[in-house]
Amino acid sequence: MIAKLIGTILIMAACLGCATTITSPTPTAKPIDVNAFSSQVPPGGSASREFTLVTGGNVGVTLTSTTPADTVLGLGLGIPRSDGSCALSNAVATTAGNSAQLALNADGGLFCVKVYDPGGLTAPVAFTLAISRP
Amino acid sequence: MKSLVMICAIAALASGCSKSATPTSPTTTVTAPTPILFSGTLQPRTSRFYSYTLTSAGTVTALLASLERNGVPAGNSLELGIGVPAGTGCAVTAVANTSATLQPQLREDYSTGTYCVRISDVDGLPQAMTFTIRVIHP
Repeated sequence: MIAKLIGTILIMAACLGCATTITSPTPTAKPIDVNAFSSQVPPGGSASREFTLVTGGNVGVTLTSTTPADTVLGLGLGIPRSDGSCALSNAVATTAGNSAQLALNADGGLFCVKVYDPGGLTAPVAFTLAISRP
Repeated sequence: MKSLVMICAIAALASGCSKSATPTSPTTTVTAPTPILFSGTLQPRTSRFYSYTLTSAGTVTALLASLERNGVPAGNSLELGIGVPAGTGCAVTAVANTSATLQPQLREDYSTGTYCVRISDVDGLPQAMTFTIRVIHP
């Protein structure tokens, strides 16, 4: 009887001693990211989005379509300011096409792409663009 | 009989623990570099500087990310420098003449302390322009 009791106590101790604490996985913040987006540029206005580069490399931005077609828009790459606006490093004025109209080498980090009225829009222009990255 | 039960119990305890005793590599905590943005307006032939503090030693990178005139990127070159605050200015120890880009123009290893980044118009901008500098430090 005593032996059974001691055995039970030891087994319980073993269970307690070896108990593994299971912790919840730490939630990982979802990176701000876009690979493509569509929006509108009003006269005198702009639209921008942020994206993350995990590693450095070449970033290409392609204005794939505009409505109306053949509208010239400003297309720029830069980094987001603390107020959320996009500080442009480089930009081009371009119509839609199939290959990247703007390409830059960049280190890893948070960046932004901005589409804007280069001057002369009289009505909102819808567009779609794609971002290629390492 | 009592001894036998004890031995079995101790053996069970030992074998139960041995499986979880497999050594594992310690987890290395990597602290992500901290980006700081400095934005402002630079008048022709002037300088501006900003100070920041490193609480751990490591590599600091700085880049002139943006130089804009009325919201449009300008291709002008400025002098970007990093160094240490001195009096009312920034005594730069590394400089680069650069236009805006998304890759670091300066990369230096520093110990802990207070440092500064300076932007200067040496060539003469045609008018005031807005700039954004990004400093990444440990």
